[in-house]
Amino acid sequence: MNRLAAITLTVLLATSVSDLQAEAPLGTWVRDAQKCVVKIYGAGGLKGLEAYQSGFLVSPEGHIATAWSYVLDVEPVVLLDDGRRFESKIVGFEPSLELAVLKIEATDTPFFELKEEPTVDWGDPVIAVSNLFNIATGNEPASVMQGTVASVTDLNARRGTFKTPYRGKVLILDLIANNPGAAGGAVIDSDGQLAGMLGKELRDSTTGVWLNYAVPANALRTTIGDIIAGRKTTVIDSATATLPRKDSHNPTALGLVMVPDVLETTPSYIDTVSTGSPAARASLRPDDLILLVNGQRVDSQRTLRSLLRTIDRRDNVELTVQRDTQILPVTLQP
Amino acid sequence: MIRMPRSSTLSSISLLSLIIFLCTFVPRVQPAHADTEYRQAMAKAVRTAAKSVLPSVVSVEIVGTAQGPSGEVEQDAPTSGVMIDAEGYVLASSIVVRRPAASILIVLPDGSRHAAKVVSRDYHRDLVLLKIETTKELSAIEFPATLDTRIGKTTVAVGRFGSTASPIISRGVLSGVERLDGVALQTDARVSAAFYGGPLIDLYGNVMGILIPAVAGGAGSDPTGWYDSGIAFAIPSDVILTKLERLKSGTDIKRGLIGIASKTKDPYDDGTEIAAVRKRSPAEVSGIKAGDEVLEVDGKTVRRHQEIRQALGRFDAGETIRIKLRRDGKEIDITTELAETIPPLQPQRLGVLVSELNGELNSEPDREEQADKDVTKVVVNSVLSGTPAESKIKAGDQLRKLGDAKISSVNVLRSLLMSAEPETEVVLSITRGGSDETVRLTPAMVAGSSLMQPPKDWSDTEPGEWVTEELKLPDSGNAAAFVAPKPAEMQQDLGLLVLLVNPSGGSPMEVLENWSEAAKSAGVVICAVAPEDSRRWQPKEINAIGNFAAAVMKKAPINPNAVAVAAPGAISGTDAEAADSMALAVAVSQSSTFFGVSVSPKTRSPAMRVKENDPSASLQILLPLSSEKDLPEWSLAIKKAGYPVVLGGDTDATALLNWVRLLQAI
Repeated sequence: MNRLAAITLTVLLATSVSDLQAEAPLGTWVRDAQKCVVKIYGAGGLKGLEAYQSGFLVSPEGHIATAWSYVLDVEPVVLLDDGRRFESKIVGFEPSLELAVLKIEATDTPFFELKEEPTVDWGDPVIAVSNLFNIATGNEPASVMQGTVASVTDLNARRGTFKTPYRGKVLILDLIANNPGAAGGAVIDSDGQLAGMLGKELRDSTTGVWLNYAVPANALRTTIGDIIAGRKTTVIDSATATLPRKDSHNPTALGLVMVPDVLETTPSYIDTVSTGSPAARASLRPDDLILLVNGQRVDSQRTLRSLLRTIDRRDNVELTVQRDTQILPVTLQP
Repeated sequence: MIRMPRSSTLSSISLLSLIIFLCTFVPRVQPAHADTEYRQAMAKAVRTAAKSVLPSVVSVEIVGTAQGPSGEVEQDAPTSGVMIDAEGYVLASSIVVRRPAASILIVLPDGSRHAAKVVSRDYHRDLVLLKIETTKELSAIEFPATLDTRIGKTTVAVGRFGSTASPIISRGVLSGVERLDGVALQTDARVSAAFYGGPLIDLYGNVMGILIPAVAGGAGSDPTGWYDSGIAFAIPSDVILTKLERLKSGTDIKRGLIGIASKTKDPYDDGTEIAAVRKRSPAEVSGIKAGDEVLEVDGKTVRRHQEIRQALGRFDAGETIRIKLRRDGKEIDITTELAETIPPLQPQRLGVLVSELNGELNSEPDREEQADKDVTKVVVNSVLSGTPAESKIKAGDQLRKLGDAKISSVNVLRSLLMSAEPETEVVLSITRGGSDETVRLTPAMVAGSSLMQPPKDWSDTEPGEWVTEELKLPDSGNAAAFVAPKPAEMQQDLGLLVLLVNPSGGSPMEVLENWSEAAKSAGVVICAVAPEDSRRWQPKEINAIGNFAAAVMKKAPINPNAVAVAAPGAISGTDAEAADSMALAVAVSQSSTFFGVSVSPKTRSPAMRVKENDPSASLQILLPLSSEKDLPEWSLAIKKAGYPVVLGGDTDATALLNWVRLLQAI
């Protein structure tokens, strides 16, 4: 294989750099990364929906990781860095990671390895490689942007117009990476390793601001491996599914009578507590303000009701309430 | 829906791929290039600096706000804050108290939540001091008393983000100091909602300031409008340090006001002469007089009114400052204690149309004015019927002094009446037919009064030919059209009405068809502007509307004081729609362009910060109402800020347009 030659070349280049200059010579790692990034064309093309996105190779056999989106509603066409064009097959997807894996009939493709451990922390410099705005076509290499990992945190995008089922850690990026067409692009650390996959355009539901984020490579590793190995196709994310009314909790059954819900976002103040109810057993009182349900922030009675709908009525409900200035954890046992 | 791959495809490739996938553990060679080394070293330095303050950085959550979101950043967005001591005091951005909330929660670095009480607010710097009660050990942040504020220095914005309150950072440089009228540092770090209230530090971990959401000047009413825009602001640490004791004592801090009106209409013009002094203001109490020229503010030389504003900007109400003035050729020093409020303007008027004549004074120069090279004369063109000026003042009179204040320009006369005492007789020194006389009269309130009738010479002038044209501005997507006289027509002092079209209210050309006759006979150019988005008006279009007014003013002889903005609801019997709220927002945030605004009394008040009315750029509001008791609730706040609300009675297009053109009357 020609990997040995590449290694030798890299070593040679590395040793020739000695002094720090104002514009230090770039390594080949950015170009190497571009070679692993592909352009994907599929469904869409209607107003506001682009029919293209990015992806990157994860095996020498033409497996491509990309963001799971409407672009893949038809089997997409893939353009490699060298301009070669392939019909592709979708070999698997994982909605909870917003991940899909495609396969093209090519061999000996350059590819990214996926590491088991996170390769970047907050503050680390990264390079994002994607085909944002479809600016590169044919054999033009994908676009490169530089930036920093601003934060490594949980995505809280449950409510609002824009939603994602992904619940794990994300890399919040300090660059405008999540543009049309960038989804599925590669985020590379300063050692040239794959750090993550650019997500779709997304608004953070708690702050309302547009997020530039990537799903870390280590979070994708097992699933990509399973899909390639044929062990996995699809798993429906059940963690936050709304349950049928009869199977889920609701305020009344727990003994919570809330203050009248008259505003768009009425605060979750308890008006009265029904005698003998789970709420009464947990010593909840009128005027207690419910802050969290199972660790998730309750900003209004509407949110309270929808969060309770996701919890099986046989399960305990963990509440955090505010009583005057005290913050109290409370467990409601059905 | 996704089409599922056929199973045959899967099985044929799976085995081979699995083997290859598992075989990829070949160690990679680390590309140890110079750029990589630099980036990694910088990342390490940023992390080290951030870690030195992170124990003091908390997340601030808002629970249960009563209203829906306004603006792009959600009103209950979690933001950051810093612990300033071990007692539980937390300094945050005042965005956390911009709407009433059921609770404000502080999330400590260990993840524990604590309910906070508001101790005090610094309205001047958009900060709020909160307090939590806890037995936990708290790590206080350190505010240095001196700052190295060399522009270009590396800065790091630090905050907490997400449900786990993880650290979040963004690196930039110091872009500017003394921004926002002298109160804030500026950085290009990418600051979004989560950072507000968090520290801006340097690479050594020194706290440079606390980040606040802010936009400058008339850039819209939403202070978060510039998030992630390469422009962010922080209140400097050295200033915070001097305010903390006051805030801890529970005392709110407000911006200091002085109460002077500028002679120059444009604050960037040369000259620091004071046109008028506000009644019961610090300026009046300390003996500053109309006609004084400001030389220094707190030891800083000033040459323009904008520089006065910048120099005063950093001071709070209650602080005493020194001002050096020039009066009658002599320099005098005055100290004055700045005030939190000045009684609102109650604008007055005489009922005259005036113009400026430039040139040599007549044979007999006024003895008092001998030293003055400035020989602008303010001369009456016409006197309006039914006003205090009728029968007291005549066309052709030169107005020289109002009380002791010299009338050196039309703008000075306007400012003097804007800030005059209501129902108080004034002495006007005039020159009539070559001889000096004094006239005593009591000006009338602008507010409440019914509409004035235009002077006869306006209706006598033949309007000539008026045409309607489309208007396109390079930077805006709004469709617009205007009706104006052909350039050859010789009318003067026309009015300008910018008419905002409702979403789905038709094209500007169509709208103007109904207005063109009235426009021509009233002598008011009308510019109809449609929203960019056919469903709504957006706050970001506010500036564009000001640009349309400026563009049309270049195309016709329009008096710059007779410029108004209105919505269709200004006409009696028309419903309030989106354009009415927009017109109100435009007028208040572009008050140096618009001198009048007319909307429906049923207008939904837009989300806007109501600034004090300014004597040198005074705005009035016309509502199609006959009685004070029908005034909408929002008009109270407007009146309190010194804006006169004029009752138009049964207002039709002609009445509205006459009012627009008469905005130039004094």
